[in-house]
Amino acid sequence: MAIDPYATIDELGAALRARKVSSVELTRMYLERLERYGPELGAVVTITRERALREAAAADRELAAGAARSRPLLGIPYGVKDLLATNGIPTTWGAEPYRNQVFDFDATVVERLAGAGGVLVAKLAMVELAGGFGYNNADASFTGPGRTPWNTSFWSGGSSSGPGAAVAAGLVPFAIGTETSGSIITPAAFSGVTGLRPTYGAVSRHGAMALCWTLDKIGPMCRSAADCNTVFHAIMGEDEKDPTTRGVYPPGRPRWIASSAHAGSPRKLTIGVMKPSYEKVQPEVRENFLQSVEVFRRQGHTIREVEYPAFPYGPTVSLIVAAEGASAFEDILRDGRAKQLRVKADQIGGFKQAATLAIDYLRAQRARAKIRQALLRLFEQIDLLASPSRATVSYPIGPNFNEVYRGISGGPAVIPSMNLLGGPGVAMPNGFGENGLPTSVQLNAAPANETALLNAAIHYQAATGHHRRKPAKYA
Amino acid sequence: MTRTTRRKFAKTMTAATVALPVVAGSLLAQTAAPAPPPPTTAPAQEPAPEAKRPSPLAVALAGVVSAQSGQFLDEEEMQRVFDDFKSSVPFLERFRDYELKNGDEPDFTFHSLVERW
Repeated sequence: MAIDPYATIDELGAALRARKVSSVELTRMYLERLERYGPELGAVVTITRERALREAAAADRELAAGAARSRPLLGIPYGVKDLLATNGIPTTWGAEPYRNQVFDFDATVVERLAGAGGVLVAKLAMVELAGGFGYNNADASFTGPGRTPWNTSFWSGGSSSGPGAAVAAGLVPFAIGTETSGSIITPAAFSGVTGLRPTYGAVSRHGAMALCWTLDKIGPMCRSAADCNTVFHAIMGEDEKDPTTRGVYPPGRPRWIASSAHAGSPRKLTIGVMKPSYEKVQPEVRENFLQSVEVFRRQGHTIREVEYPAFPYGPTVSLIVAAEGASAFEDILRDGRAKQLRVKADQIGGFKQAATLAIDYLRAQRARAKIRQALLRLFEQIDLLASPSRATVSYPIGPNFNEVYRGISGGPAVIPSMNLLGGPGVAMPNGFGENGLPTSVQLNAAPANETALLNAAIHYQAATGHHRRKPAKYA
Repeated sequence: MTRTTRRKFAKTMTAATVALPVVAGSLLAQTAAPAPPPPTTAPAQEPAPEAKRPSPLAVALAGVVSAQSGQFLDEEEMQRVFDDFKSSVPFLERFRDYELKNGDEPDFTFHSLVERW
């Protein structure tokens, strides 16, 4: 039976349980697509064929034994950003100095996906060191630039460039990305897929490359918000190996989250919008955003114009990333291997960051506390905050980022501020802009409010259809 | 590749009289995903005459990089480090103006007693 590589997790799961296709057949299809399209999209570092076929065969045995519906990921292939440790398979962090690095254990997220019956088919490309040294160009990985399947002259976004491109091109049904400040939301937007940045601490970081201990998050990039909910359910929850997970989603909560996000009708929420976030963006970005807001309104949500608290979000997040990033990669700064990085800005960026003064880092963490208080007060007035995910469509491959889209502004720094808050966010495709490139709407929520966030996102996608579009060349 | 000696770097710093760049593309503008380019309106103004001299802090920070990592950086790279600091230090100085009081604690907490899992 021919299977649509763009099928959702639910659709693939139904086909597997009905024995219309086996996990091994499904896995072979995605392996073939990864091999065929992965290189031209700069999406793949390592194809994990042997492990994939072994996991798929095991899944088929479980399916044959009559696996229950409660295991929605059983037999489903997936890829991970190449900063998650995988036993015996290289984990390169997208960076030349770590190209031959191999761990002897699986990251907690990979372990949990394996436990849920997932089939790891690929380690996916990423911006070197997840962008921690200040890259300013799309060509920032030893695998070359990630290309968005909608127009391969443009970037798939970063730093989760491979997960974005691979999901968008139907090379995997879903992927795992990470975000320190924008690295799930941006590639989801530029690649036209749905990405969930979970609450800080909701998903264990054990076995993930550390860029910034107080900001790093791990989350799913999928075809739909419903798929994000399914994957989030499988990877979330406390982990003794990551103390920051303690108390965020204690045992018992995950199952409740997964089911209530899928509730039959949308919960009526108050959604905040801010005029400055869409006034000076690209015209198509603005138009598509306003249409998204109209959909939310039609679904019974209350739309409320809000004023965003004024804080130095950009400098705060930049100083934290600068100091923690330089510390996390002190080894390659001390021995000079940072010079092996791909982009000139990265080759010298870490050395600059290592000159960050402790008092400035602490000032940033003190400002962050005030920022979080103010944003939590904002979320006492609203349930969700909606804004364009990015002010523009994707950047062209070639020029530096600051050489294009001059004069465009997204207004309040939503991505940095929400990352400082540690709250969850979801980016969803909502149409197209110039050069045939996708645009995207983001919803953000207070920490540990994934339920309301995903509920609204799932119902938005049920009423639209943007997430079902496929790039012609890879359809 | 010519490596930068501290003496050479000091000479470069003494000679530096270029205007502050108007883009925010360096240390304080970086995040893990790229920030949108800054609007062209406000920063396009001619810098005030006194601002044309590099901030002593930019010189000092570049000096730290030279002292810590100068052996890995050639003259052109050191110049770029210096230029980046010249453009980023005004943002840092503005950030330092943001008012914090003694009671404003950092956003992480040390616990002396932590229960075992």
